[in-house]
Amino acid sequence: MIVDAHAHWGPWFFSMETGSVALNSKLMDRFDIGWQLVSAIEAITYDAPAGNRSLDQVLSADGADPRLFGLVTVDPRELGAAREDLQRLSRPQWVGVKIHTHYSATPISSAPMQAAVELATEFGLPVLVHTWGEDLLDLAALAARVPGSRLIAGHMGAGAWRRIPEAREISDRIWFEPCWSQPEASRLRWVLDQIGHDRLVFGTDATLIDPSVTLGAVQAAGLTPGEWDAVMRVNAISLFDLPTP
Amino acid sequence: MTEECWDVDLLVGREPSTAVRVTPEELAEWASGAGVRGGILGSLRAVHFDAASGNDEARRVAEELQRRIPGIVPAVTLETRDWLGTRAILRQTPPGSVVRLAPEHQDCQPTHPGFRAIITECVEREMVILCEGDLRRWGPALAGRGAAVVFLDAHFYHLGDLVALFSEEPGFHTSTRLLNGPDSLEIVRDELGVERLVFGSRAGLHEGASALARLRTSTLCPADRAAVAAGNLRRLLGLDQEADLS
Repeated sequence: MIVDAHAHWGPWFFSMETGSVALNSKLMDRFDIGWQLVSAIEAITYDAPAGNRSLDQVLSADGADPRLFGLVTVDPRELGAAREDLQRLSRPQWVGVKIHTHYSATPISSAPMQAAVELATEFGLPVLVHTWGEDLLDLAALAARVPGSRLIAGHMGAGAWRRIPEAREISDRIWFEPCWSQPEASRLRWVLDQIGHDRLVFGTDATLIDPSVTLGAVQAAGLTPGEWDAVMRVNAISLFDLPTP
Repeated sequence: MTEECWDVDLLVGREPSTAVRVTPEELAEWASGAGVRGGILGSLRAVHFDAASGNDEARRVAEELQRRIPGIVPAVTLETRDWLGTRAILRQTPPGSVVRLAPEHQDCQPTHPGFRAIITECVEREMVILCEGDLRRWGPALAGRGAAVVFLDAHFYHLGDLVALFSEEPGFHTSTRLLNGPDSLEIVRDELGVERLVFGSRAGLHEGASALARLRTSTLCPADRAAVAAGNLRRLLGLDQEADLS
């Protein structure tokens, strides 16, 4: 059973039909994903509180897929609304926070981003942060500055993945999640060999990206049974305090 | 499913921006593990440094690899900054050969006169053109000429543009490498026909296993998967002519 720590629900503005929650379920079925942590595309790309409300309706609907857990999207520019969302959207259905740097136009090194991470940490929640390039190191520095924070580098910096050992040196409060639509060769094996398996958390970016893409990278890395267990489920279960299946 | 694969996007050499080296042995191992029985090999040396010696390398390595990848053929990589040198290379290259363009690595723009001249010469000589780069930029520069093209970097974010572009260009094809949305391959099949899809991995630089997993776990029917995996590229290379008549 796999835990997918980086997924989404809702339609994208690209030419694709991925808006239905039925697709989340279908992909989980096809790829043996047991738990999937989703944030709302509406919340990321347009309006965080509105998108969180939409996702709440999906997660609490009659017949909702019990394998889905919510990530509350926080826009660092609207922390008042974010606090209200975090007070309202709580366990067991909501297990973490998602912050996108690009769509919220908030660099990781900025004061509003630190305030957003401090808010999530106040609620005891880990934060999945979109990282792209060298801001991977900014995220590690932010983790070091905010006591008690637990930050996951979504996409693990994409093309900057060779900086991961450096980021890991900066803070012991950072984890790395590898989904990427253009995965470079041999990335996961290299990262595992450099920093071990306790800081890598599997994610797909579904339903934007097909799960086969990260699963192919996992296959290429040739994980040992111990590595597979840690990366594909145990690390995420521990980090997000998910039920053990 | 372990059907035979032909890989349109193989490269050998060193990628200077990452210092990654792709060796012939690594390509052979990739082919062995992935069931790749043929494909097209380009040279990173030709892309980034020197077309003449890079293309010599591609020919030599393709020949070396033929024992392990029987259908492998070299692409002639063109220097888009050097129309005069490229013209000379093209005139020595048999019509119908495969050429590879990497203009975004060569500081070339789609409006450059040299690029236009290269495309004209390629079309007149009925070359199969493999084109790297954003298809939204390079597609229009290749359109309207009856060219046979495989876009190697078509990303699923740009599928709408791809469909709009390809609908008027029966010779345009796309590598599957970055068509990584859950329904990307199926959209191309439904909008344009499965014959437009060609498997490509860029193994050694890109995670080839991801490209392979995407195709092999897709919802394409077995016949369509086989066409994408091998048949469509074989057709572009002029093999399986009888299949075209069926």
